[in-house]
Amino acid sequence: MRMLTCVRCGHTWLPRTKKPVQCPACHSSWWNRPRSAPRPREALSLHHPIFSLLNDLKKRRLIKDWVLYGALAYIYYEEVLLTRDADVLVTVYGKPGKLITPEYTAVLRELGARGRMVGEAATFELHGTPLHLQIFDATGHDQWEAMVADGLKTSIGEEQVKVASPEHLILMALQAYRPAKDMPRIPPLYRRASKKKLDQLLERFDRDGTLRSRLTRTLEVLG
Amino acid sequence: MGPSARGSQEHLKSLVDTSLEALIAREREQKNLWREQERRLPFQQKLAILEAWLTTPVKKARSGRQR
Repeated sequence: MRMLTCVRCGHTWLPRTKKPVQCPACHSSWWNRPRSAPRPREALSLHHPIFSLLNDLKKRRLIKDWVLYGALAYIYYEEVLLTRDADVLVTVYGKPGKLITPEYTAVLRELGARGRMVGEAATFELHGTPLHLQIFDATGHDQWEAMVADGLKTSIGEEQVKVASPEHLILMALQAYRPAKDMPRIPPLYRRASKKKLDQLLERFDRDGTLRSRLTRTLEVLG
Repeated sequence: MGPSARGSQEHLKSLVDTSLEALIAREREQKNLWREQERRLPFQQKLAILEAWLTTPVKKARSGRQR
């Protein structure tokens, strides 16, 4: 009988039987089975299919451009918030209309083929990700088109991502102005926004001064 | 309870209050520090944090019927 060593805890002992069932020190029954090398943790990429699909639509000229807004855009500038939604504005080719245009219908059809529609209209769960893509057509809407045009370009891996500017995010937050969701996001975004740009946007899109007074009040209370 | 005993009790209470306040302040400071560090992370890393939150299984509360 020869000495044995447990590969789990390193204990060495003189066995009483030929095939000991467990290590007498750590009681592991896998005393003679080495630990397998730790598996490299796969990169999480739940958002990747969404960005990749939007870039594919752009490449195929189904959409002109796209921009990320909402909570994900806030995360780009500030701290991480819990969200399952990817809010996206797109612009399409062709003339804007009051109803859903044929060009935008083609986009919706494409998204339907790559996933399934969930809940309200224009929310999709795409194959390969449990996240929800909430998409709106910005074509012909002055403010939204400006938001797409003014977006900041960045990249995630190989995918190009366009994120709404802080000034546009503030404008949208002032319009929606939900106490729990929008109001607390305004002061941190305001700190990094260009005051001149924000002023220009308010000049254009705040016709009766409501948004300006909301901004002042929010900065007074939370700023 | 004599005046000196009452005095020492008040002193003890003030000590507890101050240390509790200090603890809360320290925790708030720590949280702000974490938030600041998180803000400075690249977008990809922030998304990875979010994705880790979304994929962490939540233990469901047992309903009365199951019990």
